[in-house]
Amino acid sequence: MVEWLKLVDKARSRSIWMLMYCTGCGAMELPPAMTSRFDMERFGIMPMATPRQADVILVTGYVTKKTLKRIIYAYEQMPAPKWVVSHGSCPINGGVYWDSHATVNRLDLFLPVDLYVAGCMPRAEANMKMFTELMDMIAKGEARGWEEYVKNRDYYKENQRKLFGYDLVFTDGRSAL
Amino acid sequence: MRVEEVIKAIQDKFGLEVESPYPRRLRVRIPAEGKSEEERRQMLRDLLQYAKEIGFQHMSFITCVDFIKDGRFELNYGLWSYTIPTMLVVKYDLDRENPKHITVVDIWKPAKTWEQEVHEMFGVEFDGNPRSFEPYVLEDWDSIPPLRKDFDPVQYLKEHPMQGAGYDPLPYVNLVEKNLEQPTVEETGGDEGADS
Ligand code: SF4
Repeated sequence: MVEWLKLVDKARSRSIWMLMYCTGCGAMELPPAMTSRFDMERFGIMPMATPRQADVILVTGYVTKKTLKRIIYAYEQMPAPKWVVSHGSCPINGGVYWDSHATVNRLDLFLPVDLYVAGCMPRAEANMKMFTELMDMIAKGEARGWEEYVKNRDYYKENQRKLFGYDLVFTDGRSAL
Repeated sequence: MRVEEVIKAIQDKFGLEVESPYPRRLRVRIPAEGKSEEERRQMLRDLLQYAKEIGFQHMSFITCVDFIKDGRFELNYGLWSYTIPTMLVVKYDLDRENPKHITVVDIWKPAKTWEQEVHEMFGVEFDGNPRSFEPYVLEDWDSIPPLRKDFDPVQYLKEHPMQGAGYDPLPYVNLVEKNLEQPTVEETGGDEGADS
């Protein structure tokens, strides 16, 4: 069973579909990574329109309180296994927007982040490094943020409740948005 | 119409000084002294109406500037003309303590959104524009309007530690003990994670 899953992980690492949901300015550097010079599709990475078909969500910049709701909403719709990549300084500790009234400084309090890319903004080379790193981590079975989200559901939900002041309810068809 | 003609027309009709700080920009200020609130409002509306008639087609913005030391808000109405082509900015001063104003939606439709934004960011009330009282981009906002100069963002983040966590002068939070043990593949069966 375990051996078989290792093979599955290997296969997963070569077909990462990423959710086209971009926040902040970092999304600027994705088109160069997609187009002919870096061509991320040679790794089997391609953009996907809906969260239900996506494997990885790239948080490409500052996260406002309002956007975070949508990010969580999208993340919870994604089927497991799923990964979160935090891209740029802003989701790490606030970056240049650390004292903004609108942004949330630390993403990892609310979602399990598998990989960080530092930089303001990370260039396309850094993006490619990030993608290959993520592929390695997936192939080795190291990127397990989605399991952490299940195991630490109380922690993440409590943090989200403290931030928004109420529960985000998605399960019964009602949306908190 | 040419720029000189616009300057002259506004001077003749309203008796207002039109500055041209640099090419393609014109500025008019509705004077604060010697007139009642009603007259000034009427003058603003007449001027915006007149500008529309003489060839300004597009309302680019309404912005607000907080001059906290003078105790006033300055509203800027930006009108652009494709034919002249010039930007005309009309400036209007408001009392900062009691920022009540009237809408210009009936003259310029885009004002609906601009006024909504100014209301959210500065708390200026535009009488007659019902949409200006609805939230614009902020959700669940619980403090004074954020672009006023007396709004202190660091203080705000200290009061909202979850939002501000992670940067040096702000408190670090860790609320619930996190279970750091990684689950094994056997435990999850490899496909768990539908979490809702
Ligand atoms: S890290 Fe820099 S580039 Fe990225 S969202 Fe923040 S300010 Fe923009």
